[in-house]
Amino acid sequence: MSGANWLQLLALIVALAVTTPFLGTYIARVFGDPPEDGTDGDGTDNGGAGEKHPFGDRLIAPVERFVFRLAGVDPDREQRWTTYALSLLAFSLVSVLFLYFLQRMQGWLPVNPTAAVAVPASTAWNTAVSFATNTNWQSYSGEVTMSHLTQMAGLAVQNFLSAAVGICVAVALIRGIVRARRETIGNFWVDLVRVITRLLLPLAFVGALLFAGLGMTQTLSGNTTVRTVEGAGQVLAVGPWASQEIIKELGTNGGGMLNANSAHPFENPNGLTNVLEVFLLLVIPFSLTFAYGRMARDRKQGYVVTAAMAVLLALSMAGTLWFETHGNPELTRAGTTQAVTSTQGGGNMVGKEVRFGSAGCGVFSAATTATSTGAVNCAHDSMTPAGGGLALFNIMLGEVSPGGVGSGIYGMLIFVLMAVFIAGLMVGRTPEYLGKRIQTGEVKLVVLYILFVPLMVLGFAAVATVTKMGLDGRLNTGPHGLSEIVYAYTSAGNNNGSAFAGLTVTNNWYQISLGLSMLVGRFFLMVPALAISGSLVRKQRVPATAGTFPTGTPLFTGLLVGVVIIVVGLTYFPVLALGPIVEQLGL
Amino acid sequence: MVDVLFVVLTIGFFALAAGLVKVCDGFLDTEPIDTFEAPPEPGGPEGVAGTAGAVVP
Repeated sequence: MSGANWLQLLALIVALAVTTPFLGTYIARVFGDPPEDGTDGDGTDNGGAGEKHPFGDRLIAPVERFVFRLAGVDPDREQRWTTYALSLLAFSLVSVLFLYFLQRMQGWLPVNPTAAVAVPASTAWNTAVSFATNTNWQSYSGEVTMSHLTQMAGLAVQNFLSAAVGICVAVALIRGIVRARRETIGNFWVDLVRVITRLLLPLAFVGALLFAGLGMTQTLSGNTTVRTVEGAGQVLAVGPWASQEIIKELGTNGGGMLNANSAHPFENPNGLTNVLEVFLLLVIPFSLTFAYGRMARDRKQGYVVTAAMAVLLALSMAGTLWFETHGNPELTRAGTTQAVTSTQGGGNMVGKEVRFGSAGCGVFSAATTATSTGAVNCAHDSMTPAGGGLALFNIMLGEVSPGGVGSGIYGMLIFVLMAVFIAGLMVGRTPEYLGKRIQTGEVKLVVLYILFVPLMVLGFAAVATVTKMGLDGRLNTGPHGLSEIVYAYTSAGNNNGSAFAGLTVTNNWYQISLGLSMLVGRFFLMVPALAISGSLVRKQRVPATAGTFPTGTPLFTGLLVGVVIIVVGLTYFPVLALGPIVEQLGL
Repeated sequence: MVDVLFVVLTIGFFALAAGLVKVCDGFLDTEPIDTFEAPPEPGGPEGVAGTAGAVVP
């Protein structure tokens, strides 16, 4: 890695360390319950978690009241978990159907300067599901398939809404953990509106202006033809990219407007925007962990989750950087120089954008697969087998390091409950978390949560590897071909959305099976998470005793990291061994 | 025609997800609201820790 690469990494870490506690405090103020006595209960200031008038209230509250009145929502009326979940499902159903028909009818609709025609039915369905589930898997080329209207009124809107839905589930689960002897976990419609108005829209507005200022395209014009220095004509796809790029990263969405995604200079013009994009992927997921500590009125709990996520991310990022910057051993044996020089970034440059190099790819790849984003600035299929395998492993972790906006923290809290259960078994006590006993019902739901995705991923991948309709899509045979298939289902099932590439997914089998994986990976996990919230919210909090396993310690952080790795390892190790591991060992 | 199929597929999935809400709620309905007493201090007399149905002090 060059000195510039190290500086970029350092800037990223410092920026995250400075901003996430502040943003987390703000989120806690918006979504937390008002404290009864203005303190944490132990006499310390709680940072204003849940205070009645958080920052910006005077400006935003009237807008929200107008929206609530328009939608017939009573903001003071909270919901039981079942109503919360059904509201979420109804909203998402409408989202999928709206986006599907928008794509199917875009040829007859305005704001279509490129004269895009109706999207084929299976692609439209796959895309609608993909964007409504925050996956943003793309089986199309954005610049030639979608009209500007579909991009702006469909895909970009879902970038906001699907991200907001994830955060809703997170705050609902946190409320369930934090509250005691209650029946309700919040109001889905109120949470949804507030995530948009108080978090995503303000940040996206400022960020879009910043991105446009840094050279990202922002126009409603259609394609532009330019004359190259060789005298040839070249068509450049331009559009409102800056305003979509910001929410693409901020909402851990990842669906690019252009096929090359963040490797394209119009989506990622320079080194600064590259670092900014990585920062934006990580900022909300890490902020939510601080928000959790504030809302729980026990900041150590937030620190534990933050630390566990950071350890997992650091390990995978370090590994990816190591393998990508050290290059391909086959090329080294062939006498090719892969060292850093004044003219090249060094390392494995196959499939890399030369402006960012192998280190820029390694950092971006780890961040995008650890956060359920799926945006890419290099071709994951061309990474070293171990580098690509780490990207795959990141996604297999269930997007908890730090995961998607909302889905990361609620996914990690599910693992926390699993870790508490295991710790309880080890010390021979009834498992407790923040004074709540974890009983049979919650453990059943945790198991449901953990099993759904592997069932879909491994089940569909198994079918694809033995049927013509699945094998036809492969570009490679052997371990790499297996990795291509498994990566696609892992990415879809965990709502990441990044494509390994090397797999043609436009036939009906892939469009539908990947779509179903996305739906199950999103909603069949949200329902158990909300059910756990609904169960915990009813419970009485019992005081900690000498027999209580403390969950705010480095020891528990280690246990949590271990549980995540062991659960995922036991589930996926065989397929990893047959794919990237055997391929790396063969080099 | 193909549009109808995808609409049915979508609605079918969400109906299934709504069914999962019912299933998960069923898991919880069998669980009484936790009213456990705090466990006894170490070295104290045998308490009722872990006994469902005890009264909250």
